[in-house]
Amino acid sequence: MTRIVRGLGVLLAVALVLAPAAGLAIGPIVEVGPSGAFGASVVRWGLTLSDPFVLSCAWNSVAAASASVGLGTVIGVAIGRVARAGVGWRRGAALLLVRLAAGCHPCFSAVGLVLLAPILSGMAREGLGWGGRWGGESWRWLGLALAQFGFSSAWVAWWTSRGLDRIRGDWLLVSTLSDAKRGWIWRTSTWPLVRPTVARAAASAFAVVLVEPGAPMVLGLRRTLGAQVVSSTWMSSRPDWPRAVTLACLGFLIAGLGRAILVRWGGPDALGAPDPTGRRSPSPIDRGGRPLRLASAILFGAWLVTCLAPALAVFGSIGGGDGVPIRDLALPAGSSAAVGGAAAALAMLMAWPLSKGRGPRSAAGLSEVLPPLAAGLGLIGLVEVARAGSGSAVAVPVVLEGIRAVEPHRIPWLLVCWGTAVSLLPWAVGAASGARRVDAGALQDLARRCGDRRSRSRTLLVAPIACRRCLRPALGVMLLAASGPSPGVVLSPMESFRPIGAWILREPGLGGGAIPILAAIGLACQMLGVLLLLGSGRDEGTVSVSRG
Amino acid sequence: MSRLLCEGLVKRYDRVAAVDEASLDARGGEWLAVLGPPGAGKSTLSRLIVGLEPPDRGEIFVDDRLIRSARPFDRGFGLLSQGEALWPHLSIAENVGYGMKARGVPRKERRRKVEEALGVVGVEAIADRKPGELDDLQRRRAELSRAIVDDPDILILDEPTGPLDPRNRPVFRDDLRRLRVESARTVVVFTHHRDDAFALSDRLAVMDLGKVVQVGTPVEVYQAPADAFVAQLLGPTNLLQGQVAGASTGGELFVRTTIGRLVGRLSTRGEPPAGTPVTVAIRPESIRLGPSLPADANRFTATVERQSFQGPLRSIELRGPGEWPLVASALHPQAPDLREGQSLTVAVSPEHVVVLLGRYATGPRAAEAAS
Repeated sequence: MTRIVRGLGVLLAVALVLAPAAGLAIGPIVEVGPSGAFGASVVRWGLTLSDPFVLSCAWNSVAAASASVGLGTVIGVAIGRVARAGVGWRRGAALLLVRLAAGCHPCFSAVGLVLLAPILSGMAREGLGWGGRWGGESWRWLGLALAQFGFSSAWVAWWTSRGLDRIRGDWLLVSTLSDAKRGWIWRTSTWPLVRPTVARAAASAFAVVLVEPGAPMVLGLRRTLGAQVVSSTWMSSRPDWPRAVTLACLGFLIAGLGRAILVRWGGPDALGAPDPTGRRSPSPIDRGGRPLRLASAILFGAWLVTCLAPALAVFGSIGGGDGVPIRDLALPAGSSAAVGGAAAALAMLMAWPLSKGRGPRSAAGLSEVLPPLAAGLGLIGLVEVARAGSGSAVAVPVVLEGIRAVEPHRIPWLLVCWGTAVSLLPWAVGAASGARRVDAGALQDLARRCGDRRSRSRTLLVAPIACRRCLRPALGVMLLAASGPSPGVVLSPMESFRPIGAWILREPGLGGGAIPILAAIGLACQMLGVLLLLGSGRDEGTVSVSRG
Repeated sequence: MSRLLCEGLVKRYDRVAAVDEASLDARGGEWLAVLGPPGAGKSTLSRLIVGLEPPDRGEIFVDDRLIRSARPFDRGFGLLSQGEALWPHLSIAENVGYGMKARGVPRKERRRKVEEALGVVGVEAIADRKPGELDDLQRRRAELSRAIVDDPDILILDEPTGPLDPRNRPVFRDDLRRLRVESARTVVVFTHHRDDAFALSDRLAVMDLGKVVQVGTPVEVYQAPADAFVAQLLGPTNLLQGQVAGASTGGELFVRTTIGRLVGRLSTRGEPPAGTPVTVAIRPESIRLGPSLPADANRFTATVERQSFQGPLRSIELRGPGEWPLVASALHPQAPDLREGQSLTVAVSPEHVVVLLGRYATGPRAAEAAS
């Protein structure tokens, strides 16, 4: 009986994870004829791909994401090395700053860049003699690249440092005794081992920034995939769902292709887990002379300013307004908290069955490839197909009615929580895998010898320990879910269930200077969420970035 | 065959001396084992010798060459480190040839040397395998191949059997002994396993709290330990405190103890005056039980408390005079048939009663050595 229930749980969780992908797959090709019969057609794909404007949007997004993630990977690897090379409190402080930078979602960084625009414009005009007005097209593209660069480089830096933690001191000892040069050791020995982790981090960052709508919309860049998807859903007079789903599917395919290329470049991960005792082998590598240390400090400082200056601008703008009525903030704060809590609970519930066994885990891995916005559009695609086919003779009415029931206008909270939970699933699965490692076998045996049944002993002993281990990551997932703009921006037409990021994008005219305050709250949530997620003992097998 | 000489090495971390005036002399072609409990300073001493850390004071010579400030590679040592040190993404052959590749040795020569080194240890068959595909013994053999691939004059083995499964340790010890027969080089073994130290050394240096407290052949150190710490480190021993009562003309010493007067021999040179506090050490295997006891032996009565079967040996826990707990051991087939609570006479020959100067310490350090 228990096995059947467990199997059904796994099936349900897999179905919930695969549903957005299924929606993306069938949304653009399924057509319902006048008689109600289903049919398949590639007309929408043809129309989309033959539209020069769409191709231009796709090209812009791919170029911006490739440039920012490519540069972010190069700089991120260097920053990861610099941060980890520190000793004592310096290392702790550097890694904390890296984690804070990783919490700067491009959407909030873009808000910060907009706030910084007058200062930067003045600096560019007076200091550098550039006559161009800040706010022009090219400047905004530069802003987008900067926002995406800060995010991706911080995540690559973090995962580089984690990869370097898994390089054992004994291996480096061999290099020292071999009279190998520092560069040679890095090229032939350390980098090949860290590269798989870096490649996976870069692939995850690429999937997020490619279709991320927040930064382009804040910066007013409509010729991007993310902005086009969003404008097709609610910014035009009549929502064009098929176009939006097709564009999202295109983004998904490009993200998948990018991931495949990057993972192939990275190769298989040959590193084992870090020392379980946390003992760090004494490193025999010298940290270089004064010039190298100085160059490292300058690089780190410059990178930090690039990543954190927009965040500081966002936080600094709080006191600049005329005072915001509390009631203007109460609804966004309350609704985002509700969405965050519900999405985190759903993510953890889905993650538990998915964290056991190779099959369910690979199903959960799909959510890593799926850009958050595409996950939302996948669900919408599924609902729209169900809605269109509700009168069909071939359809199974119960299934269609079930899918139609989750339509945002009927149950406003369900779809946004589902989409957000799928987006943040990699983190939840990592936390659940960590919690599954609880080994209370001896305690369980003792409880059983005292007369408890096996199931009861598990409930009494393993569940509390596992729950405690999941608490911190669940809180982190909740904060990310409550603040991230996507997929909430397309899944939450009702104000009462909308994350903070979606509020900023959907209600830019919110009165009394509420937007900077909301951005500051959202950014703080993202930073705190990332700190909680990266501080918890999660499964090292999953490399992910903050998604949403 | 080179000689390694360390004189008065000192290394402090935050005022705590990890190595404190340690001196070692590994003669050319000799196998010297440095034995000590964890925390004795062995690893720090090995890092000083190899050149991974600079000493605060003291000198290191190879033959007549001062190498105190030489870079690790220039010292010309081979090192088998205590952790597993094979790069996981490289094959065994690539790992063994790693150093030569770093120095730009031509591929042909590199391949020849790698094949030779793998052949010496007998692991040619695994040359193309990755470390993750091998068991711990094969990986350790591969590491040994890498340590000798440059044919170093001096080889440093840091906890050679440390990462191995207990059943593979004797096998690897045999590998090392075979290496000794096949090539003559100076080897320094740092270990906290006394079995390794006994099996792999011509001479033994015992370390405690950063100092070298005794040097000698394994038999000498075992039979005449410098103090109670060394006695306990090298194997189970019964300790008893007493005072010197006098000396015989034959060099024997009379010691007054709580169980009566014992006759023994001093572990060091000299003749302590009467009244000097001493510790008497008696190994379990030198306690004789049963009817046929030598006439000149120290004799006393004891009660059998417990017996335990330990494979080839039987351990017998006794309660001596004055409630003194002592342990005797006997080869299993020859052990007398005893029952718990039985009272019997035990005897120890004077040459097996070792008199150590000073009282023995108790506490965690002594317990560590005893364990």
